[in-house]
Amino acid sequence: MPLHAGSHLPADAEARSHDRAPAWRRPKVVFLALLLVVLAAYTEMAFALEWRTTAGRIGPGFFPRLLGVAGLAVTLWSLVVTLRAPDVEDETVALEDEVGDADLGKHPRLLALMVLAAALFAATLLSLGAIVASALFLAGMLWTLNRTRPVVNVAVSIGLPLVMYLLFQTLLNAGLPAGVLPFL
Amino acid sequence: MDVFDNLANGIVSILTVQNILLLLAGVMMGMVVGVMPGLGPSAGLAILLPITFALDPTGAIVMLAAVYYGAMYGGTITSVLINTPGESATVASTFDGYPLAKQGRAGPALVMAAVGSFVAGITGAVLISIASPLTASVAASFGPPELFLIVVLGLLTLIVIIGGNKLLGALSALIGFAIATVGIDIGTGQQRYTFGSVELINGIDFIPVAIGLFGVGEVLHTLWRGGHLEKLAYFNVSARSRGFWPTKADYRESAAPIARGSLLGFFVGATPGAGATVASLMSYNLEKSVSKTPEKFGKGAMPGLAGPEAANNAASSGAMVPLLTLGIPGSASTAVLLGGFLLWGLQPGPLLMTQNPEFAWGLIASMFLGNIMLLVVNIFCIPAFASIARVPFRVLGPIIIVVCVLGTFTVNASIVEVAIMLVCGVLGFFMRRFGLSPAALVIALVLGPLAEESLRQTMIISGGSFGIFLDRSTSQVLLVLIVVMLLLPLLLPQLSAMAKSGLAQLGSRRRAERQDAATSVDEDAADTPQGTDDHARSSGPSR
Repeated sequence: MPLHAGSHLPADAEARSHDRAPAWRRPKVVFLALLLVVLAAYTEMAFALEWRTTAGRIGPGFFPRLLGVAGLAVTLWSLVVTLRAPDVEDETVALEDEVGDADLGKHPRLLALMVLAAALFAATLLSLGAIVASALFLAGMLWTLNRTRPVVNVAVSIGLPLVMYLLFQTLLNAGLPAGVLPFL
Repeated sequence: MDVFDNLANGIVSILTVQNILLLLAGVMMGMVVGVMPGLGPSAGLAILLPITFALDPTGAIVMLAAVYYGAMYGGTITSVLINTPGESATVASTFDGYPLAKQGRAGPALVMAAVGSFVAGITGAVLISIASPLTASVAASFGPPELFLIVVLGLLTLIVIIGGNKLLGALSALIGFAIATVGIDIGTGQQRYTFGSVELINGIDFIPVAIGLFGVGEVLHTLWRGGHLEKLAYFNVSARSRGFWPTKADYRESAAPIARGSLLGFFVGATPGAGATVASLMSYNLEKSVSKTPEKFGKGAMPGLAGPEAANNAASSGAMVPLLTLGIPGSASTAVLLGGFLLWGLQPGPLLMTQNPEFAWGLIASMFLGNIMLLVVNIFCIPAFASIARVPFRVLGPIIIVVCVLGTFTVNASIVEVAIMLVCGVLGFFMRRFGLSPAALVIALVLGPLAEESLRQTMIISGGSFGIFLDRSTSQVLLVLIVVMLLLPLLLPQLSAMAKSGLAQLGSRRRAERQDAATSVDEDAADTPQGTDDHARSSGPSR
């Protein structure tokens, strides 16, 4: 169903907004609260920097202090607005969710798995090398997401890292780590 | 006549075999980026940026610009064939594009969209050629106070117009500014927020942030929404099949929407924040409002596809005006382009057109050539690009992550930047999830150093007094515009209602004229039967 300008929340999305956790335990509230903590730390560090130099010019803390205070105020305001009317705040996101047809559910575990796999990929990039680390990441994720097509998965897992290595290392002369493949 | 001379010089400067090949590569890659659902032009540009490092600046920017407007063309293919917009700017193209495909008219729809995009692209390039020197000449008188206010105004416009929650838009921009403060303070040489890391002394580069927010963030968001389970139902299209080309009636009824969409798109695109998505949706609503047959919209009306298509392509040209002349990116894609300019040592702004005329005009000239290439590529390679659109997300997602990680690493061979990119990917997911704006963050990150530097210079000039903003006439005008922009959210509902009622009146007047014409045809038919055909052809509905 396409998203038309000015459309309203569909009935199922409206129904979804009820029967949820209390406002303070909603993911958006937790996210904004975390952001508030990060910005508080940022602001605290900004106040440790000079506002003005001894020559009377703008100091290194001038801009960060303004940003920190403004950031804290806006985050706090957003948090209060979200706590007072969490369902209203969800409208934009819910509308965006409607673009692209069917509701295929939400997949937080798969998301966490992808993030974890990507982090492992990055952590092993230098030690294993670009080709091996990429191939392992691709093999793992494709096996998880596309289990019915093993031939495609193997071809992509081996072919893509080689193509990327050739593109960056050979054609563009941009360094990629060789890792455990010393002949590269 | 200077414009023609400069444009001719620009064309000469890019007419090398290497530049033409890079332009071709750019439009092809842009098309590929456009047809991949979940990979918009900003993500595509950010991911492809490292590939251009081995090129000379003109070739690199010409290629990146080609990727940018190529992606606008490509996004339509998936909108029409699988009802999934390749990027947000082509959402409006699904409204009538997909119904046209369901009627067996996918070929005419795609060709007409390509023609509309081409006309808009060329119109946009012509308008850039006229508007850029004018804007640059005005902006040449700007000093640090004006530059600072321009940055503030640009971001404010972005937040006000971008849609969604304005508070969260402002928060996104503040986060971007905050990230920009990491590294050495230019004025005093003191380190800020580096935590002793050598890699952070030079600050956080925008490339890993942009790749993370737009590339990885999009993949994570699509995965979370179940994109890997999506079964693509698509329509086949072949240039050899009968009925591939649009009919004369298609061209006739699309001509005016394309013209309107081109002009509307350009001016909307030139406004920071409005961008191609807003332009295409505005064009769709405009065409529906003024149409003699609004009931056909949403069921496969060619004007409902041609207008928005023209608008989104013209908007991408319009967005180049503030970028080239003020150094202010109006969208996420132009923010990435600005980052590319800076990487090559080119500072977009009023002086770009006087200090690097061959580069600035070469870029504008490349838009004429690029659009011609895109028209040809688009029409004759539609089936090939359609087949790319059939690669399912469950395969595409992991591939994009690998390209993002390796692409980020190649920039500075830094694993810390890869980590920053992944963290930004997760941040990008949550920002999208909770209605924050990754585009505002990236634009603020790119503009942060400029804002701080111009404010610092302003304070030095004024001896620390903010009164300088009120003393200079240009600053006063900009301050008034800032106040207007702050008041705009309060006035927007009234303005929107007025525009809607005006359009509704125009539409009903046109429909009444149509009914009158149809009545007179009936009367003529009763009197002189042989005159009916000609009359009906000129006044009745085209299809």
